[in-house]
Amino acid sequence: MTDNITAETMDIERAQTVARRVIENVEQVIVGQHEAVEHLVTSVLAGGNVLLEDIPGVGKTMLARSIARSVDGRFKRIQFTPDLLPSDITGANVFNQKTQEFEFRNGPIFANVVLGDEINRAPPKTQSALLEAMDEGQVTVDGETHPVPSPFTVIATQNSVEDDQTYSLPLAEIDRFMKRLHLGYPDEHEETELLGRVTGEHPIESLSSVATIDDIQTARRAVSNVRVEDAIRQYVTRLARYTRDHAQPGASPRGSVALLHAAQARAVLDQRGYVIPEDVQQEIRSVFTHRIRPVPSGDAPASIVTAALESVDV
Amino acid sequence: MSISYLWVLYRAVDIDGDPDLFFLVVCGALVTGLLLGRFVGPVVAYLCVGLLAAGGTMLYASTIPNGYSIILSIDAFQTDIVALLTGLSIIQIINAGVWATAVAPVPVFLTAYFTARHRYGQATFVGCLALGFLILTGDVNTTIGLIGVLGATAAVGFGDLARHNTDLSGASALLVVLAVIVVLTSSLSLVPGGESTPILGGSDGDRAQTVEGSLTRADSQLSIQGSISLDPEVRFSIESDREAYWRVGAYDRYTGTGWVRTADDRSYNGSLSKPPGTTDTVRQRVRAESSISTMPAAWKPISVENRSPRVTGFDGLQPSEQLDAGDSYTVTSAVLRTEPAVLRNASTGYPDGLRQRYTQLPDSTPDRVDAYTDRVTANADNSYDTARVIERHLQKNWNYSLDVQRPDKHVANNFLFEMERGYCTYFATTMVTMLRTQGIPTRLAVGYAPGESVDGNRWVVRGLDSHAWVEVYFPDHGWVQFDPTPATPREQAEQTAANTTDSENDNAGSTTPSPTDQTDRNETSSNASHTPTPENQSQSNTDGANATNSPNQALPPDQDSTERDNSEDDPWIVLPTWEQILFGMIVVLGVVAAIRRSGVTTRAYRAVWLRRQPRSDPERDIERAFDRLVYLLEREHRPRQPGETRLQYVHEVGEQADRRMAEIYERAVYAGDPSQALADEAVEIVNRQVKRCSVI
Repeated sequence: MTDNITAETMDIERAQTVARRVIENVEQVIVGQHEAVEHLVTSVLAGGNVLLEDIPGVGKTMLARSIARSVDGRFKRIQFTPDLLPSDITGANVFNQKTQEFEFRNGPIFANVVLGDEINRAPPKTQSALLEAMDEGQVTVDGETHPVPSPFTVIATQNSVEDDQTYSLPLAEIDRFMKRLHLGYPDEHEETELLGRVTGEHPIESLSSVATIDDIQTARRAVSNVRVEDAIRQYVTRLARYTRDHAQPGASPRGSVALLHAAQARAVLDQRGYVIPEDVQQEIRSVFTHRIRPVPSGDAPASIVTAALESVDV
Repeated sequence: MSISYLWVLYRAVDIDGDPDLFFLVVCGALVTGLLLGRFVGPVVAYLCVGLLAAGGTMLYASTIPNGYSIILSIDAFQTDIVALLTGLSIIQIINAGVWATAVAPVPVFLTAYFTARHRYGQATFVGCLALGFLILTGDVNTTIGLIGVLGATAAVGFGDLARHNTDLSGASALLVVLAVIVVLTSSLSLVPGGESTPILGGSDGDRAQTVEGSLTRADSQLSIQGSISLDPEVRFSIESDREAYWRVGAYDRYTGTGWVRTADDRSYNGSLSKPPGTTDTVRQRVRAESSISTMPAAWKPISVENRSPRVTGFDGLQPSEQLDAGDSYTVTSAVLRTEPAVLRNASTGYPDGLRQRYTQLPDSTPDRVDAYTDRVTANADNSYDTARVIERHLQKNWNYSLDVQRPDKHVANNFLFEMERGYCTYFATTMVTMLRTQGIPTRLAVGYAPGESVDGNRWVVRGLDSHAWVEVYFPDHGWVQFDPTPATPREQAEQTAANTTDSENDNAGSTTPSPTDQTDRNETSSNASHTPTPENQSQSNTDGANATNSPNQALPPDQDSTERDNSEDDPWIVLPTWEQILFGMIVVLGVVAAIRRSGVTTRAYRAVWLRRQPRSDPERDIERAFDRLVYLLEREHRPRQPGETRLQYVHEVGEQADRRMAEIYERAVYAGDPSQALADEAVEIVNRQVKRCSVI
């Protein structure tokens, strides 16, 4: 290795250390969801938002909270309900009696990690309040734009069982989540372990932060500096195009970008300064699947992604 | 497929008929067939066929004398059919051109009709019937037959493929089959002895119907050759009052590459007609000295004693059974007195039928033959002078050689404009052609040159005395012989013969000067038997004064082999004819298809590719080294699974060195860090691995 990239290497090392620390920390609370935890951490490092979708009670909220607590940043939680209003999320201009002026009162969205719990319980109007923040890092209230803090990550959960009284997320919103993750049940051994941990004081109460905001910012820079060769860019493009040929719609260009960023974060997790095809392969399922709407009577999104992996030449 | 039988018919038309009309008729039948195939059901089509056939037959019948009665009498009709099916060439049919034109539309129409209806099988069946008929008549040679078979196979095969929409792989299989057909068939015809002994190497491509083929009828070509090679000494001896050309037969129809006799044989009924001119009676006693199937006689024989021969067309004689050595017969001939003054004044009022028959030329004969002859004979104002001028012209300006390249077609044309030398058949054929362009009835005669004069009135004739010359018709006189073959070499040969010690060699008109043992060798060549003079010439030229046995012996085998080359191998090896090009292309296509199917090229390329790595820049080197490694591993272990990256794969199945290689590749390609050292290491690793695998 030559000297001029030694600095980069060090950045990557440090970023990897941060990521590993966060993962270890979270796993003190969460049992047996190693992959989900890694995915979550990589998307935080890649600057993406995550949608956790599963049946109730498998630890979606707990996972999100653990991540939030592991990072020494501001954490806000919004419980989505059918009567939740957009201003309940973004905040509103309030008349200040003392100064005789309207002043903006921050809503819960102004935090480093925002947990949107059961996001599909709120009507689309409210859901859309999240959109601007997720994509552009700012919210606009009454024509005034307010930047959200950085780093900013939305972790939303969604209940996939109860269909009544829910508003399924529009594709436009779903597309803004970098990843959608499923947790699934823990296996027998893991569940036993879990039960052992929750007796007495719940471990999350004693969870301390292991990374500062600065750490996260540095790690994010390192991730964005990870080298991506032509071959990888082509590979990602081909995969995306394949899904578009086999579904309506397939993965969007935003999806391709997300996949590339996620692959970069994955490379950092393996302490590599460059992306290899395996990184892409590891990330593609969580990044692409929720963006694909299969044609009627076509293959399920997951199998389309699998087919893409098998058909596109590496 | 259609092309092949049409080709045969076309040749018939070309030789005797109107090709333009033939084209018109065939094209008409083709178009009608295609149109009807679109719009009309089978019943109407069959009706049309019936009409066509009947119309054609009537048309043909109207052109021959007693035509209708022949058609109406079933017996005669049957006999003709049987004759055709048992090998009577269609060229020998009276008015063959009209016949072909009348017959051709039926199969063409049917083929086109079925093709238009996509019934390739039936179309091919019709074609096969037509071709089969022509094969039985003996008009189809190997090449044409092969084209027909190929056409049939291709038609059925591709038709089937088209119907089932099969992809290219089926077509390539068919190509392979076609190529195999070509290769097998052509190798069959190349096997020595597989084909009948070549005859008159120069002039005939189509042996069955040419000089020698027909000579067989009159002359039993095979036995002549047999006895020549076994007993070259003497074929027969003749006691006669005067020297003459001992004639065996004559031919009237010129096909461009050979000769056909269209007249039938008949039996001898006690006497033959005498020519109308002034004649001298010449008695000849002929004693066969070896087995012969001909009865040579001076022109024109009028009676035969103590034999009852067959009389071939144009009054050639043929023994009813083969003559053995010692057999003899006596012929009386009326030899025409050829007085130039009288012949110059002969009328040109030829009978119509005679003129038509003996001035026939293939329609495709180039015009330049005509123009050239016009120039040569510009000063001659009667038939006799014309013939003499042409005879002299040929004698003076062309040389002898046995070593000639046989032209594909139009022998006369080629001889006149392309060739410098030839032998008697070329000379005679050319002279006949030239005279016919001037409208003078002429035919080709074959037989033997006078031979060696022994006792003043006894001539000894050898196989190599066989000869071809020209007969020209003069009304009120008869057929007069001309010989355009140069005489000088013969005189030279006489000289040579005089110097040799052979006691039998007399100097009077001997055309067989060579020592006996040389003759032995020479006679094995079939051509030598008909080309005595060039034989002599070449001998005298090369040997000159000291014509002794030993140098002579060295020469003939050489000659022999060149002759063979000319007559037998030429059509396949030396001359790239259109058939060869066609067959060559089919074979090449077939081979290419076969190679593609077998994947030999890919494998060969892979083998080289795996073992040899040219170096360029480090990144490409590493990439290629890695490609090789993956290929190697895939061959050794399992194939890479879909979606499995090559890095994963190598880590999975490879060993230590392979993993190191994968690392290098990863760094070079994805981290953008290729260095010369890494490239060297990579290539070295892979080379080692390849070598290890090859050894195992």
